[in-house]
Amino acid sequence: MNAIWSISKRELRNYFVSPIAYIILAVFFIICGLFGYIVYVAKAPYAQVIYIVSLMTNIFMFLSPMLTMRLLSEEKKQGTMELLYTSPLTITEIVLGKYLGAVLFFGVLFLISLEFPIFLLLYGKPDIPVMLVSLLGFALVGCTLISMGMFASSLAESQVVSAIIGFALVIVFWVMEFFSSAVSGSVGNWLATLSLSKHLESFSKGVLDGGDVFFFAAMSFMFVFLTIRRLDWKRW
Amino acid sequence: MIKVSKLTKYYGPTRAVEDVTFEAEKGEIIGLLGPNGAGKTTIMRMLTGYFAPTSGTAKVAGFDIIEEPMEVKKRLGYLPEILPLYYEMVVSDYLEFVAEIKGIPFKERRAKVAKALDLARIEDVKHRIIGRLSRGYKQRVGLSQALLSDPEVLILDEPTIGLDPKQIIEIRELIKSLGGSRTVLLSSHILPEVSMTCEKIIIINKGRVAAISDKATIEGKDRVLLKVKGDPEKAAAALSKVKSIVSIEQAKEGPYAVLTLEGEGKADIREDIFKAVVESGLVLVEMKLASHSLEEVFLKYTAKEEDAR
Repeated sequence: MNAIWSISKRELRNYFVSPIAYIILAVFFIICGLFGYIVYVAKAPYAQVIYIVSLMTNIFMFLSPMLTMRLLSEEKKQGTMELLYTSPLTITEIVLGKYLGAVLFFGVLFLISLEFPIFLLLYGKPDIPVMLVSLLGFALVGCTLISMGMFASSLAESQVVSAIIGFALVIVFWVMEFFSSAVSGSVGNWLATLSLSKHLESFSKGVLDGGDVFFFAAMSFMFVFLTIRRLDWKRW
Repeated sequence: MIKVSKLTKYYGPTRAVEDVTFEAEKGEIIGLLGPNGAGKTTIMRMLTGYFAPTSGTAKVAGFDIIEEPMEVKKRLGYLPEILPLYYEMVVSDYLEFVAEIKGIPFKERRAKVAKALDLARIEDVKHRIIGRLSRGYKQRVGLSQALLSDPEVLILDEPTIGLDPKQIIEIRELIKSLGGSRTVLLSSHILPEVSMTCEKIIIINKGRVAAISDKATIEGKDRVLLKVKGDPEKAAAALSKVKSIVSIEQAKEGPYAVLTLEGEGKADIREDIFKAVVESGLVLVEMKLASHSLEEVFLKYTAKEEDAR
């Protein structure tokens, strides 16, 4: 447990000593702010929580591969993986530490992003339960996107390649519903249930569905597990 | 302390290491010697638990690397050839992090980090960012990382690569001072490098152990290089009368005759040579001891192996 915390602490700090954290935060908030202002304030002066949150979710989807691309690729390239592997740590501890580090960074982004709903609260009367549920959806999908990105990062030594694979994974799972329409029968239905955007729908409506919460938890777990398996397999 | 038995590693169908067996006692400094690509790093990576062997096993500090890898890793310090450094970190923070993942208790951490800084003599750069240090300092930060947990067994992969001569001497002294209480396994592709620090040398060639021997045997007998004025034939004839000389090779270099002389056993033949040269009235220009190069040692041992088959 201590080891996991050590790794995630270092990971989080690493984000903030490199320009990447600031770039991601800046890009995220500039785009969210601009879009939000133009679409929901300047054009149609009716601001709704769900629009703002779904906007944040969509933009984070595009940024997440950049957040996760270096997680494991960099360790491999720099040779520091050799330090981690030869220290008394299990692969599970290494991967969980890395995952937690990236999730903590997402936590920072999430906390700052609360400014949008807070402004809505100040200047309007948003539906508070809907707001909270949709924010929960954003948090859950964020954790899932990070687990996917981390898995992509375990596949390649180059950060650029990791980012591209991560991006592909995210897009495929995001619009899985669209892809699945090409596949008929039960396989198509089964594929459709893997769609991230589909499971977000209920959150954005303010409906808290246990099944959807479970879906995101399971997806995150699966990709963390796949990352562990991938690294384990590479050692044999 | 280290007991390797029949360690084998294949990368897919390619053989990297096959049937490597050797032992190291507590306090011994052992050198793995071989050309690049011989399998030295692969052997070290298996011992440190970086990856698993295809077959065979090893015991480090009394624990099996396959059965109880965690116990092995706790007792091991490892300096990989590619330095495992986080370039954006400050030296002391980096060592702090390594102490954490090595499972050193909080109370001892500060003292151990201070000791490692001191041992590797990087006290003066502890507040600097690793990426901005010179190659020599980076190497020492890597070494301090390996020494940090005060391990029983140290595995150092090419510890002096990329250092300047002064630093090489310092690191050599440091490694020598570590022996005695710790077991050190180091690798190099340079013979003097290994022969200056290690008592026992293991020669690795194409993934196999070509020879395990003590330093003196591997280095072989010293030869004497002699340069005299005049005709090589004449000089050789004069020296062939000396009984302690076993073999003479001759060559011509401008107005000089260059002779390579080998004596019998460990005896120093320089005195006899000097006397013979003076008696025959030749003019002595140069005389020096020459040890065998890695290439020669290598050819000798790998040729033996071929003969045995």
